[in-house]
Amino acid sequence: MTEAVLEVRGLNAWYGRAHILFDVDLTVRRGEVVALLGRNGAGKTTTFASLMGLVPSVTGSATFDGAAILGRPTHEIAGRGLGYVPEDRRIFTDLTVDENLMVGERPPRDGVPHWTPAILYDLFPNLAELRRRPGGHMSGGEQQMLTIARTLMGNPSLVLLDEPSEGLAPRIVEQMANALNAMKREGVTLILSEQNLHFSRLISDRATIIEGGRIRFDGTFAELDAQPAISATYLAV
Amino acid sequence: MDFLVAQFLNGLASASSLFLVASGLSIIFGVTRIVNFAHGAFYMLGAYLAYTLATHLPGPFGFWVALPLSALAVAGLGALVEMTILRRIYAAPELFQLLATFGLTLMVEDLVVMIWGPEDLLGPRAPGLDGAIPIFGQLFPTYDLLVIAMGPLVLLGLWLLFRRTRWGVLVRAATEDRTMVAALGVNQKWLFTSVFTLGIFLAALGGALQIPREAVHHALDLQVIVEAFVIVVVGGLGNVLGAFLAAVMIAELNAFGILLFPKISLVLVFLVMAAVLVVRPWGLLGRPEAHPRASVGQAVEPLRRLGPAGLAASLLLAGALALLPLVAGPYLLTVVTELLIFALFAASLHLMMGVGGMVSFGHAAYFGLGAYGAALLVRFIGAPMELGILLGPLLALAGGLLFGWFCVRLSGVYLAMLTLAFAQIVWSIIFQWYEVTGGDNGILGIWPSKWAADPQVYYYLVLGLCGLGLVAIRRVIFSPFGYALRACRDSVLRAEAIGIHRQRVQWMGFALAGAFAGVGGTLYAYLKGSVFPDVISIATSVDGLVMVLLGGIQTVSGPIVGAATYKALSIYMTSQIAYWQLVLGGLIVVLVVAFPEGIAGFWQRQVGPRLRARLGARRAGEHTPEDWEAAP
Amino acid sequence: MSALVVEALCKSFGGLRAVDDVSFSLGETELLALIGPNGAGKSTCFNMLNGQIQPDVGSIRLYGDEIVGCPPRTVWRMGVGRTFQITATFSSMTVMENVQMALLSHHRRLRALLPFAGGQYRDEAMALLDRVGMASQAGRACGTLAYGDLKRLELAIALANEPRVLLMDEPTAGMAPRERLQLMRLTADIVRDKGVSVLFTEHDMDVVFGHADRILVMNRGRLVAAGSPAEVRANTEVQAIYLGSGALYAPEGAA
Repeated sequence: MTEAVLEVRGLNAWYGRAHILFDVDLTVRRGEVVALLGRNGAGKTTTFASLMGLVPSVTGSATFDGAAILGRPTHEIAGRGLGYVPEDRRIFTDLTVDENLMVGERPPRDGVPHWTPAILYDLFPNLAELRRRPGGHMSGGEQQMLTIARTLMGNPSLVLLDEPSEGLAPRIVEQMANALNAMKREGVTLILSEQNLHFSRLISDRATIIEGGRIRFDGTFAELDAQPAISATYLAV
Repeated sequence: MDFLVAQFLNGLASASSLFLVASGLSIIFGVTRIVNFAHGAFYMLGAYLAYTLATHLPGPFGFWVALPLSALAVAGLGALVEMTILRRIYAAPELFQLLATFGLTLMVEDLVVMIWGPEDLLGPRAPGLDGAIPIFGQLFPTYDLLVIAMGPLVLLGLWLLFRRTRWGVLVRAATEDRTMVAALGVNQKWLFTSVFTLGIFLAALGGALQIPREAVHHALDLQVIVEAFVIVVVGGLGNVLGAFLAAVMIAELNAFGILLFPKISLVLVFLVMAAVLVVRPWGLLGRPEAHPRASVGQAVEPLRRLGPAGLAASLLLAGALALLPLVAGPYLLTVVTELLIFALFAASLHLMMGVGGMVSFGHAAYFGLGAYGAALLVRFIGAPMELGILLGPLLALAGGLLFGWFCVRLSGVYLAMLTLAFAQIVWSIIFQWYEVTGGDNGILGIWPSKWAADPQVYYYLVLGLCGLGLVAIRRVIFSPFGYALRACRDSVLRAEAIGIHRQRVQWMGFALAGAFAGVGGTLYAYLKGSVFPDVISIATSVDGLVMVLLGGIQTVSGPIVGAATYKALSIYMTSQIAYWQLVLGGLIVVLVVAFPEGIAGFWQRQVGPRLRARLGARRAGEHTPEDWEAAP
Repeated sequence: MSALVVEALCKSFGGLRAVDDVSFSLGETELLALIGPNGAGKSTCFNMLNGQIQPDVGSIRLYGDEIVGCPPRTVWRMGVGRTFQITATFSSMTVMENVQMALLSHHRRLRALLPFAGGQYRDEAMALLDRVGMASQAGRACGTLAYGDLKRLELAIALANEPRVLLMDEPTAGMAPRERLQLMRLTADIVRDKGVSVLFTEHDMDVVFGHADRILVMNRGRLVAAGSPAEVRANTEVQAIYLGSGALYAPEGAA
């Protein structure tokens, strides 16, 4: 078994007075793709935001590449190689596609794939045609591709990918799945937060289900399929 | 025709210098969200330093080395200021940042006088460009052509910097979304420092370029900062191209305004600004702020009516003030009379910004309108004091109604800037309308009626009226209307969702605050026996801000305490300390850095909880994790 | 008689059709749920119903009266109360004062300058707080309330003008399961007692399927299903939206 890139133990998080996460544990090994599954409001986004230092009030521990990251400033966590693709994309709308990539650019990192605009434009051919277009003048799917590419420019050892298929048309979701699988073949380690079980199954090695701010299940998709009650309770309507 | 061309070129030359200052201010605001009041002070420092270097460096190259060298030196000072002061207060409410940079301005003003003396200094001519060339038959200074070229050149330089370098791209990204930039691993600390340094460099260069054209003096800072504010707001906060367009527009307006409308040349600029903001509230090329910040005065603790202890203390204070004339001489009585007037002024500002959430950089306008209202009545109809006190404040009320109608259409920094613009309009009108207002000669002979002429009697009159005013403001704060005002500040969303007409409520609050300030102004006019345009100056407005913030914006009695402390301190210091601005400015900076949440905020967040913890009071009703355990 | 009739509502932001030709009606004293994944257009739809956002086209009629074109304050006076997903209350006031504020507005007493606001409509405010189980916390500062209590306070505020329609945006978000159950029971009681009609968005499926009379499902701006909880649960398109469906795309290079 390869080494763990990320180990989260007993993570609790609050927004103001609302207690959102309860003792969340999470382990991700190098080269692995983990699906973090849950409905709206289950705590997926808060988990990512907590790891990125964007939630002021957290307790517990999180070790990323051997360093404790909880409570550290966001830029330092990102600088260590933890990539973050937020759910709301947050493209720099005034900046062109090229410039958006430039903001994400970091020096190469040992042991993880090194990304350049040329490689990324191969991976996301749509973007290659729009290099000089401002981010604000792109469709939702294109923005989603751009925000992933922008994060990859930082040569991250682990990417937190928040609901990449959300609000996208089926055709685009398909392209997204292909691109994510290509990333995986390049050796990118991922946590993929999703509501969409089928989509995540196409890409992920392992499933972790979060509901009500707690981890309810952690195992392979085969194990999940063996217990249909679990996805019925925590994911379906 | 020929003359018009020369005048046009003249305007362009001024535009260049203004653009340099305004673009720096705009870039700094865009990235750091700091409204740098000290920007004018850095401009002034650039000019003074360039003067010294240009006169001391030898040879024809001395002058040409002096300009960039002085700008670089001032930029270095700016970097130092950013790292030692501003870096500690980025998380503070924007008003405190403004206050800190205002404190810096005060300090620089005195330092400049200490080093260079109070006289106007005219720099040397530019070697090689000291002649004039004929343009359409008019002789035009060659140096000014260089200055004209500087504007577009700097614009081009900035454009290349922001489009062609990674640093520039990062700056633009940070202007749009700071959090995301951090999440991509960029350390913003140095980005902020470099942006601030660049902004200051531009300001100082703007100042340095002016030395052969204009005399350097120690009031340049305020003159420039007001124009820079206007340009940045008209162009759109954070937009460099907007700043350029606005600079050209404003400078040409100045150049031709003098020719076409000499009577209202000063007002013209501010009228245009007000018009632009009403049509395009975010400036020519600006855009609405995506994440407006919480308004000031947002409190966690509800405002409370006075308890028995507070009531007793107030009565005790009122009693002591009533007995004061028994022990105090005329001088002390006059000082306390002034303190009372400023307590009312501060309380009226607090009504507007603490309770109403509308920050005003120009509250002096209403104070001044009240004073001039009475003074004009005396001058033109020889009205007695009783009539003056009754009708004077009506002019302030009218001003509040007129200006407030525009202001409540905006919010946050834009609203504050617009209040500043209106205050400058009032100031300009009074300064320029010599036939009516006497210009800077003021209006003299505004004395109380015979029965109130004795300082003791006038003191009682002010004590009574200001006391009544303070009680009335308190009453308003706790009335249904005051609650509605507070509701609009706390949550516009919720206020509108329960049927409250936010604009109307804020408009009334604005006008009411103006009227109370007007009462203060009227009483001030009769205390001094005269009025001058100074009462409407930025300094008076900022004094009000300092009083409110110092005393604590989140309490009802804070502004009164703040006014008494600050006014007493400044009266004492002006009489005792030669460089009192230096001391006062330093004090403000230290206070803001030591209490970045404000004194009241510090009390609430730091001292309050500790006190409560010591008393063992536990906040009831808070959810513990166990509550969540129980599934249905 | 329908309390609210929504017809052909559309709203675009930039190029994105956030709400695309949505029509539905809210029956009198009905408890109607609006669900859908993130970004489905629920919030936009919801915000158009109280005038917070103006639709590009479409009509919204409250007991026959057109709402489109009216600002939120007018819609409120017409009888539509609402709560917010992220609670919006007056943080510098006590719990009681928050409700008094709404009552003062309802009775059109906002311009009064002389009386003390704290003394106005105390009994009415107390009755409303009692209704939502917040009477014991009436004197507390709003900023110190637990999240679930803030939600209940919002409900009391929304009830102050005796609304005919109540819009509740994620009423149980951030609440403990037990609290959720309590709040929904309370809502059902209010519907019964006061004859109010309720439309709510919600992501807790237990709450939705346990309490709603009828459910609307939105996805990518469109209304894709409407019906009783059983009907919606059986709808394959809804299941596909929530779980995703392999049929939607070919799994190429799947892991």
